[in-house]
Amino acid sequence: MNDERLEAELRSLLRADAPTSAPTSLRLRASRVSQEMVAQHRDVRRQLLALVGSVAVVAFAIGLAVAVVPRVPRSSPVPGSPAAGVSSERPTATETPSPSGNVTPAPASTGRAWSFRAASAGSAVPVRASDGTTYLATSPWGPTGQGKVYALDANGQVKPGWPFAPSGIAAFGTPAVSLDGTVYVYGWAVGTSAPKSAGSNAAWLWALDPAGQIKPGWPYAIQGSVFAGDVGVTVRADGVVIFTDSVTPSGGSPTYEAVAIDPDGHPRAGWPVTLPGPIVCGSGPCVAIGGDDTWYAMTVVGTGASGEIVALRADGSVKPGWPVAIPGGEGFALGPAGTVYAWGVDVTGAAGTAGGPKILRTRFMVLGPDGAPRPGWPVTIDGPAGIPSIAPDGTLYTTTGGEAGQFQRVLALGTDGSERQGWPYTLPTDLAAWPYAPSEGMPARATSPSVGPDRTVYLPIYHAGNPSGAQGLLALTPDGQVASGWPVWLPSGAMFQNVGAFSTGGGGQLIPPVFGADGTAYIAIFSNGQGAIMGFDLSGHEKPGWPFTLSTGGSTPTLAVRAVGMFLTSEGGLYVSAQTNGGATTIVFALPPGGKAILP
Amino acid sequence: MGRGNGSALVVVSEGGRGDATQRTRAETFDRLTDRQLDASYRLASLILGDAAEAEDAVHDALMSAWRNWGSLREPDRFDAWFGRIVTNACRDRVRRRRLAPIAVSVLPERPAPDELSRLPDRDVLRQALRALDIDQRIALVLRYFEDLTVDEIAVRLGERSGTVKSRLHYGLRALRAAIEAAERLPREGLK
Repeated sequence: MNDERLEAELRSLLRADAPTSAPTSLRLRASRVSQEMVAQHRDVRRQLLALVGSVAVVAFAIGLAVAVVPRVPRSSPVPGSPAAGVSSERPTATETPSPSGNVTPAPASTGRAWSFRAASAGSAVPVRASDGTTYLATSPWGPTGQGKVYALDANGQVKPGWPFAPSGIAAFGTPAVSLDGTVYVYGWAVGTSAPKSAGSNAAWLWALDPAGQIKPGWPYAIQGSVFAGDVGVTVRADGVVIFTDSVTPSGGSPTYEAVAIDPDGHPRAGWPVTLPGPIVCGSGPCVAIGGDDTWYAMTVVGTGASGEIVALRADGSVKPGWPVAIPGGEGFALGPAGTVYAWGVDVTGAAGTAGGPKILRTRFMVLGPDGAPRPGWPVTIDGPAGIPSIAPDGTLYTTTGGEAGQFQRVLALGTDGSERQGWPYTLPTDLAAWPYAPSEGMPARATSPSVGPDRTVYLPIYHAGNPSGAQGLLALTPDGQVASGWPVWLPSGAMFQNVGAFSTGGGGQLIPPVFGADGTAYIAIFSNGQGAIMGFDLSGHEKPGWPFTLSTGGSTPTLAVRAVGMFLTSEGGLYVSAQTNGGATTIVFALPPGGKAILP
Repeated sequence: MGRGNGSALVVVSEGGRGDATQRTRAETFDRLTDRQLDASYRLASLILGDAAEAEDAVHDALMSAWRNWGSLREPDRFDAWFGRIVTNACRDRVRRRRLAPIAVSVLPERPAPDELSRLPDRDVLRQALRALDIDQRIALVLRYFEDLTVDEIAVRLGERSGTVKSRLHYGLRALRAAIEAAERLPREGLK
């Protein structure tokens, strides 16, 4: 290669690789530099002022000049002391839900907080469309139960033409909304609490327009069994909807398949595609669609000792380079630039045996769009590690160590598999990451860190050896240092809200914090019989107007309300899905942008 | 003594001239650095080849710029002054970077050489660029991305022009060698 060509290639490469702009996380961090430095300057000045005053008095008294080096205090709440009280007197939702559990729409208003309480349990998470509509499916189950799909406008009112409630359908999966606003949702009749039996033709997939009407050519009769929960359906950019089901011939074993339906309601050519096994769900997304419209899922292979990531193209063909085996596969997530992050564990022993299962190793893998491992991967860690969090820049954060007080670490692995500068962070032996069991029968492991928009890393913690003591949240800077003002501790008696608890290995997975554009960390807790949401700014101070108590309204709420999930809207509003009476009814709380939780 | 203490009290008095000066400085700092944020991030990304490292380097540079604000004698030359701080921050991060993970039991497993040999030329060039000495990499990025002349690079880095020329020469030579080595690999594999 001659000089001119090499220089031209280098110019071309640099132009192609140069990012167009600084990421939001850097903008946030940059905006804080001058503020923090000015604040630090002010603190030093205050110290100097006090000290100089003292020196002046002392010098006057004894006639001596004293040199003093000021010390900048680091504000950090004392462990165990409440960062803020969760009071039942805090303002709650604007509406008063009907005691009978009927749907009670919020008053018409714009930009106000609202809550919406549906009459029955919701087995699916609420979904918010780009036009501001929130879709919520309820599933009362049982032979006489009637499921409904609600469409709520930006003020929490049920939109005209909704709810969608086809007769005899008692359960729905999570809805999905296509780019043109079509709502896809499947539902089925329920004879028992389990999904319908194979071949009974009692499950359908509907396509609904924004007015709640069934689109021409629909519904599609599903041949196999579908499942509740978060699996639901996914919609590609071209409007093709994909879901998975299982078909069990009489006396035979189930066959698992991915089904694709065109926007006109007809099965897509090349589909369904038989999968190696049921999809792995519960650690990371169940299924995902990449930027190139590839459909990804992790499936169980054989007896379950291994997993496989399947990648299917639009025509149902397997993407070249795929599937990729993930030994002991537990989950996957899509990363930047078409990468796929996957993780699995090597386990010895089995649930129910003496001593129970033990995780020997946790293995993290990053795959390119072609299914090949990226340079530097996989990375194998001895023992258990938490479900990883993948930052937008591709950094993988996880927590190692399954036992409290055993030098648990927070790792930050770069896109080349090496550790980021300043990491790992080792927890002091008197602190521990909150333990959770990812599924029934599996041993506990340290809970996962979460990454904020400015790349601050948050980790739920507690005092090692005292699981019933105070719980707190630790914040680490992008350089692996404890952030100033952190950790913060929950009020006495309060605990992080978990999604579910299992009989072995501690609690279920905590509802991960969500982060406002200004860096505010919102966490779901349960305290004094009520759920609440706390908000902390970047300095560890509780946000004015918070915590927000999840309440059914009235001066003396009688029903305990627990959060089951949170998400932020593109406008910065915080949505909290919650349940009462162990899931008997479903409530959605919508809090407006700006993080102010005090309702009118 | 009394006059001396009195003077000190005026200087550190709460909400006095010092605070106003800090606010003015912060406003100027924010305005100038905001204007340079995208360009600085682009430069750091290309030098370091890693988005997170680049972000950290620019953040380091911002902190350094604030601390050394007094050395900016000509505000009109802020862009060049800050650009130099950014390249220094990139260099510092590379030099501080650990060569091997120190966390217990983190065991990276590298792909086999035959996988690397299948990478297209652009990936080979990218990897070769990342493997260069940091000073050579900075010189190449400033020359072929920012289109600075040798003399301009020398001013930016505070080096002699001859030093910059040498870095560019040896940097390009190393890139060429890496590409030629990669092109030979498939043929060797057929033997």
